[in-house]
Order: sequence, then structure tokens, then C-alpha cells
Amino acid sequence: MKCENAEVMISLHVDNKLSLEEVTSLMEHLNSCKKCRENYKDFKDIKIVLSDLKIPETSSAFTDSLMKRITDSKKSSGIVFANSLKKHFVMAASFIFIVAASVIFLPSKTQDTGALAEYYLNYDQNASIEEIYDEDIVSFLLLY
Amino acid sequence: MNDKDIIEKVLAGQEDLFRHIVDRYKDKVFSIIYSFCGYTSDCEDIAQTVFIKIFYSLNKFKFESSFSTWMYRIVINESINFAKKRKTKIVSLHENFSDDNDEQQVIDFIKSDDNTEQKAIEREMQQLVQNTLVKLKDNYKIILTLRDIENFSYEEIAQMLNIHVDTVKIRLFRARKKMRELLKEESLYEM
Repeated sequence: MKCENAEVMISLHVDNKLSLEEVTSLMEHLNSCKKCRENYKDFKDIKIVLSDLKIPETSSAFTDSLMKRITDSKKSSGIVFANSLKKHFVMAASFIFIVAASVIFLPSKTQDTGALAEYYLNYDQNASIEEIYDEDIVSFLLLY
Repeated sequence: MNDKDIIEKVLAGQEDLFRHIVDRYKDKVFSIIYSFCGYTSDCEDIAQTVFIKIFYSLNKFKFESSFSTWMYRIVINESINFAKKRKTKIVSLHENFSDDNDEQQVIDFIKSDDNTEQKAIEREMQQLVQNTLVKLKDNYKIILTLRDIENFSYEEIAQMLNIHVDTVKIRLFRARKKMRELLKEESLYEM
């Protein structure tokens, strides 16, 4: 086994991730390689020291204090999940209203554009009714 | 009540139930931040800020993956952001104690039994490892924190970091190797 391979195997071994066969092969290499034996000891020590690190616990008031911060932030920002649902509802209602309005007003508007077309036709005898009618519908739709 | 049930209820308006999520994960979240952000005294404040971010992101949780994996991703990203913002100030663990406690610690230290010397060595080693850990680049720091401090499995880490399990193995190896190098340098410097 090459030392480069052994190094990766050592890291896996300190996590107990090697098969019995792999462990045997690694041990054979360690028996004959001082440098890798030192690596093995160092990796094991690093893992032990890291896993034993004394990390203080959160204070007893942590959760209460956090929930208060959430409540305060909601008050100041006005963000509430229920409110966000309302917001979506208002947006959906607005969209439906616009679509409904388009359906209701489009025919009457096209009738108006018919009259407008008559006017323009008189104004420009060269233009056909269809051309003027189409332009006005496009203009009307662009308003939305 | 499992995580998903709680979140559904929180999203439906029972927001105070979020405290169950906090109680369930606060120690691990705090520990990741504490390890990652350089052992500063404001880690608890940062942990709270991260939980607030999680609370306001709940409506983005898709219920397709595990909640804890999704939450730890936020914790990791936020830890990286906090560490970058303040250029990670390294302070000793003892900064967490007040001056009065320092005095008591010295008395306890003197009164302690024949393991005193051994304990002093262990404490010094811990200090050295903590200080070295925060000097590692983010990728290495986070993987060592998740594996060696928090004891997450390779598979859990892969999901949290959105990488392949084989990448976890290689990254862990490189992180340990770098940690070893830095520790050797530190030891030589101290000698």
C-alpha cells in the first residue's frame, strides 16, 4: 500500500468506516511505516480532542428570549404567516377581477372601436375598416 | 409531535409551537455556530438570529426532505456569513467567564487532585485545537465540526452540504491533514 492511499484510509479508519479486510491491509502498512503510524496517532488525537471539546450550553432563557424576539420582529415588520396568506388571497382576487373586467369590457369597447373606425374611415378614405379596427384593439389591449 | 407536524401548525398560525423546534435543535445549532464563528461571547445572539431566519423561511420548506437537513443548511450558510462579516475574532474560552469566576477557577484549579497537571495539558490542547479549527478554510472547518464535534454520519453531512458521500470522505481527510499541519506549526511556534 502506498502512503498516499494509507493516509485516506487512516482518516476513514478513525471514523470506523473500513471493512475488516481494509483494516488488516492498513495495519500491515502501519507496522512497516513510521510516518503513517504517526499520522494515524495524530488523526486519532485530533478526533478525540474535537469530540471532547467543551461547548457551553445555551442559557436557560434562550428559547423564551428568542420567541420574544420573533414576536417583536413580527410587530415591527407586520410579517405574519396568516397575513402572508391574506396577501396572496388579495393578489389572487385582484388578478381574477382584472381578468373578469377584461372579459366584460372588451366586447363593449370593441363596439366603441367600431364607431371610432367609422370616424377614421371617413377621415382617411384609403384605410380599410379592418386595419383601423385591429389597431384600436391592439391599443386597447396595450392599456392593460 | 414530529418536526413536519409542528411546522405545518406553525405555518397555519400556531407560531408559538416553533419553541418546540428551538428546544429540539438549539444545542446542536449553537454548537455549530460556536465552533464555526470562533468561540466569541455573542454566539448565543447569533444562534437566535439564525433561528429567526429559519422561522421566517419556514414557508419555503418543501416538506420533501428532512426538516433538520434543510435547517442545518441554513445554519451552515448563516455561520459562514457571520464569520465573514466580522472576520472571526478568536478569543479564549475563558472570555465566557466573568472576572469573579476567573478567581474561583484558579481556586478550584489549586484545590484539584493529582490530575491537575494532566487536566492542564488537556485544557491547553483543547485551546490549541479550538484556535486552530477557526483558522481552517470554511469547507474544512464545517466538515470537521459536523463530523467530529457533532457526530453526524457521512450520509447526513453529504445531504446537508449537498455533496457526494465520497466527497465527504476526501474532504474530511484533507481537513484533518490541514488541521494536523497547523497544529504542528502552532506547537513549534509555542515551543
